[in-house]
Amino acid sequence: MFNLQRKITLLILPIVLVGILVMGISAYVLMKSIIEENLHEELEAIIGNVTLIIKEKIKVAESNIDLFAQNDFVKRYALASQDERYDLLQEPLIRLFITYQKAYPDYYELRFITKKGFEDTRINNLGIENKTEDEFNSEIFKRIQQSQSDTYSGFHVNKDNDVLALHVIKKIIIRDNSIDNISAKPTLRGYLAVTISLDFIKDVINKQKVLDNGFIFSADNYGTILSTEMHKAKIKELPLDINNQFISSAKQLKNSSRDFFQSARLIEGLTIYGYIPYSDLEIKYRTFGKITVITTIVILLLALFLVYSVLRKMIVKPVIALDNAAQTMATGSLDIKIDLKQNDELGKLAESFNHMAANLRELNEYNNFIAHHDSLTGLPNRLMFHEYLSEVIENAKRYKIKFAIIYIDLDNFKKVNDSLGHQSGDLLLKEVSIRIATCLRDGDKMKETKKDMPGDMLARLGGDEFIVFLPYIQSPYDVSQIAERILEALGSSIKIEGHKVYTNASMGITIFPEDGEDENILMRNADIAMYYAKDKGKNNYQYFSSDLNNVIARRVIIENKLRKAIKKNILELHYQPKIDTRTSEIIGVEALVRWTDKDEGNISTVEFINIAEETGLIIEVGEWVINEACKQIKKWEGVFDSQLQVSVNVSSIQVDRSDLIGTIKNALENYKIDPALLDIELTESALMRASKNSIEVLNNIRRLGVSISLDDFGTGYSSLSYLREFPIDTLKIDRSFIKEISENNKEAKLVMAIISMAHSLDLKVVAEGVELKYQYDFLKEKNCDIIQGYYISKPVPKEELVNRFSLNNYKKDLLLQVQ
Amino acid sequence: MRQSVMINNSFRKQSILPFVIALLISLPVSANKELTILNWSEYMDPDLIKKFEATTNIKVRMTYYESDDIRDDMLINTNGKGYDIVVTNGPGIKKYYKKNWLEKINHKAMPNIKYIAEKWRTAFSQSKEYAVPYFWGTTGIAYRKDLVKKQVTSWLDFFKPEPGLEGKLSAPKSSKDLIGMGLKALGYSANSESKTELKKVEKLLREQKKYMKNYIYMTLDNNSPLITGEIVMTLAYSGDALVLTELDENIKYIVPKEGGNIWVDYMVVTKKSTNKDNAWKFLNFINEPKHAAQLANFVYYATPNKQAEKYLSKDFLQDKIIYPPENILNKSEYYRSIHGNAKRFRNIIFGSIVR
Repeated sequence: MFNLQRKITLLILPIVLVGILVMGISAYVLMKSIIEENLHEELEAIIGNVTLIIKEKIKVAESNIDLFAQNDFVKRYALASQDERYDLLQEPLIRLFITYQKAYPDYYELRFITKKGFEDTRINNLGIENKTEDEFNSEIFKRIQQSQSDTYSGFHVNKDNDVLALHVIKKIIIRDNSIDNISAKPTLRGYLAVTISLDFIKDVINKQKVLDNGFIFSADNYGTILSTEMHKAKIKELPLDINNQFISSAKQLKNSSRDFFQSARLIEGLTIYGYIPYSDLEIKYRTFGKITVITTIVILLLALFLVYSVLRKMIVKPVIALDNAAQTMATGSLDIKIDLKQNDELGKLAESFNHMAANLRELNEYNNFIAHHDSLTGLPNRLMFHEYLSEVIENAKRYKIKFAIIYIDLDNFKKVNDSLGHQSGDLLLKEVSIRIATCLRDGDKMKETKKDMPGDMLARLGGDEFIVFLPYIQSPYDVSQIAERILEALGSSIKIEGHKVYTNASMGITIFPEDGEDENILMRNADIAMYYAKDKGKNNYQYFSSDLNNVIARRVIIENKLRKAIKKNILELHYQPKIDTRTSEIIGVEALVRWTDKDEGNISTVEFINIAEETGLIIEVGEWVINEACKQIKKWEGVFDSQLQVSVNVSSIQVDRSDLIGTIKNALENYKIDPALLDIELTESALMRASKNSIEVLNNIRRLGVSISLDDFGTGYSSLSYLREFPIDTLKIDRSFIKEISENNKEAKLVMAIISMAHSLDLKVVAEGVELKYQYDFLKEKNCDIIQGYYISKPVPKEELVNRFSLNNYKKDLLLQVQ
Repeated sequence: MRQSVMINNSFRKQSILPFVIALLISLPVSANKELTILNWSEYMDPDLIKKFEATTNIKVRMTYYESDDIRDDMLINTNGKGYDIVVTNGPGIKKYYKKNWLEKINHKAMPNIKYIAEKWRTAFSQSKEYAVPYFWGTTGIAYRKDLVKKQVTSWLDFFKPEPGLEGKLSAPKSSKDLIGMGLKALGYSANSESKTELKKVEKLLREQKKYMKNYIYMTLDNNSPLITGEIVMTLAYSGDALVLTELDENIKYIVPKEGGNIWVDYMVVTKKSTNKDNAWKFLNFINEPKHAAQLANFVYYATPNKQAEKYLSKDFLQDKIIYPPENILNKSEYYRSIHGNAKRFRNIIFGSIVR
């Protein structure tokens, strides 16, 4: 870019340079003449000034001499005879002159001159000796005699000291009033003369500053010069004209020195000259010259700078920007926009460029899309899937989370395709993809948990192969849910161009990181799992990890069965009796669910309760249990010595999620039983898991009149706080305590303490898991209220309970060992 | 003659006073019981005046001047009017005579004139007819003998003083005395009219200038600059010097060896006086020998009244200052009035040096 700039600069610069130089030079020339003109005027003014001062002095002197002449004494002197004068009047006249001189010291000589030109009285304060007393021939005397006026002023050389002085002489023309009469004409009696020193001119001249070396001087007609000492030398050098006078009123001497010269004629005899040496002018010229040069240079630099920056801004920069953008684009990055708001060609170029970039971007995006998506279904394609997969593997490793891949292969697609044609096949694929997609989880919800993870994705790998990508799973079960959903979705028929088409899928599932940490491995294992599924008869899904298969499979099976069991009332309640230790009478039972499946046989309560809780089926189970219990309570009215209270286990899930109160209330009402006969057993852990509402729920249950027992007491973390917070009637000591009781050991002491504490809180105590006599004896001794355990009986079906425990039958059995 | 204690060189003041007096005099006065005398100060015994006033019932008014020149000015200004009696120096008589300001002596009204020695009556031009001698004395040098290295013997000691006396000299502003005594210092006559001689005196006076403190005549009291030592030497008149010698024994008066000036003061009656009778009465009165002696004792000057000597003490008559020795008197001169160009020349010299 420097080249362009340089080129343009080199082109414009000379023009600018020349222009400025011309300007500078012409300014200089103009200024020079102005300076000269000014100087001329200035000199004239100065000379004028000096002239004025001198003229003023003359005026004052003339009026003074007038005043002196008016003095009576002077007049008398003029009128007196010689004798009278000298004898009497001269001394006073001298004294008068002296006083005048004291007032005007530069009037250095005052004289009284007789009519005939005789210097009668002379007072000189400079001690200058009188060369002659005869003034008759003096220039001054001649002039005054010739003059029409009675006063003459002029510059003449004082013959006494050969120094130029200002002479003022006045005729004394008066009447002698003592002799003449009024009508007599005044006659000339004598003259009064004043000689004034020209020091004042010297002062004035000295004070006048004419530049640095210029000066003023004066001269009379005879070349007598009046100036300061230091200038005398210079004056001598000045040229004289033919008359030996200084060249007057020449603005500039025509000699080689080119000095300035000017003059003004004063009054009689004196001329004022002004002189300025060329060197002074030169200095002025030089100063101005310097200024001009500096100014020119400054302007030039400014111009240069301006040109440079304007060029740069308006041309070079935009071009560079365009070039940069083009280069960026060349590298493939299309995300560029040139911000050039110039309202000119370059601006337009930038605009076009931006359009082009935008278009390319669009095109790029389109291409990108095409590259990543399946044209038929619009689903992400294999390429995109793999990109996704790599990204997710990264994040999954970082956050240590699991994700799953479901490899879906449609069963019998080829058949469909062949029989119905490719078009139908395509339609089928489209429909399938839609259906599978609906089975996936809501992407937004997913994103709440893990921001970096993408949502569930369905991709078409090609042909009839799809892949479902579940980027965030908590357990394999999550995957099963979706897999099941997919199987179900594909289970129903699809209408294709009037035909009902059935298609199923075989699915293989791999889970990260268990089934592989590498995308290829994961894909391959998913493929294997898929083939396994196909092997297993199609229309199913298989996990790559075989164990999982089993566990999950069983789980699902159990779940399904349980659902049916609940519906079909296959579940049963067994009852374990509770004995009052004091009366040894049965006062209640704990109801426990039992399930015998025709295929599986007896399914352990632990297993199915877990599954129930995991699936939420516990609620239905629990509901059934409560109803069944209430039903039984009703049925047992009058059967036993005292009405049996039935305890029912309740899980935290029921407390949280179900309308437990509603269920209980309905059951109580339906079977019309005394609420006190129903007891709810909750474990500490269950309470722990339950939410805050649980207290309220329990309180409500209590209000219904139902009893509440705290089960497995002593196993939870903060048993005592539950006593404080929850409304409890009975405390059930966990079997682990009872089991360990021996001679005064810790467990024994704890049990005692629990009993004591419970009693002090007005709670009943039930000991669970009592299996041996000594335990029974201990507990009885320690005033445990109720005993439950194998020592009394294991949980039995209702028939057996009735048989064994109604109407005294049990009493005998107590002495016997537990069956 | 004595110079007034207050030497006031005010031209203006002089001018006003005679006018006032003239005015007063011009007022119609019924019985001219008045007398105006123009005099030096301390040159008249007030007791004597009182006596006269008592005797004659004439009111005497004294007007003073400080120098001959000033006196001349005063008279010029009034043109000889305003004063009945004027005390003038000898040379002045001719001047005033020429101006027609003088009244001829009325012998009848002034018989006591006979007591006055003839010598004095004729000392000056026109003095015999127009002027009554008053006192006479000398002009010499008064100096502090303790403040000068060399004792004063010559006028040159005054005109060319010893070094170290710059600004320590004084003299009255009297052209006659300065030029006259200057001439005598150079061995010429005090009345010389020679231009060359006068030129020399001019030079002498010019060179003396740096020694002069001023041209103001000293006062005659304890504050006199000669007593305080402000000046160590001055041109002085005999009687004044005498006063000072009595105040300070370090002061001496000498008429130098070249001789000095013998001055004579006269009383003249002005022609324009309207109290001429009173004037003659007064003049007669003071020339009573007893009165003349009284006056002499007051002013310490030599009286021209021969008869008065009878009433003067021996000390007085033998005082060398009052009555200088013969040889000095012989060398001394009376001033003559100078006229014409010589006068002019003197005027100019004096005017330019003594400013």
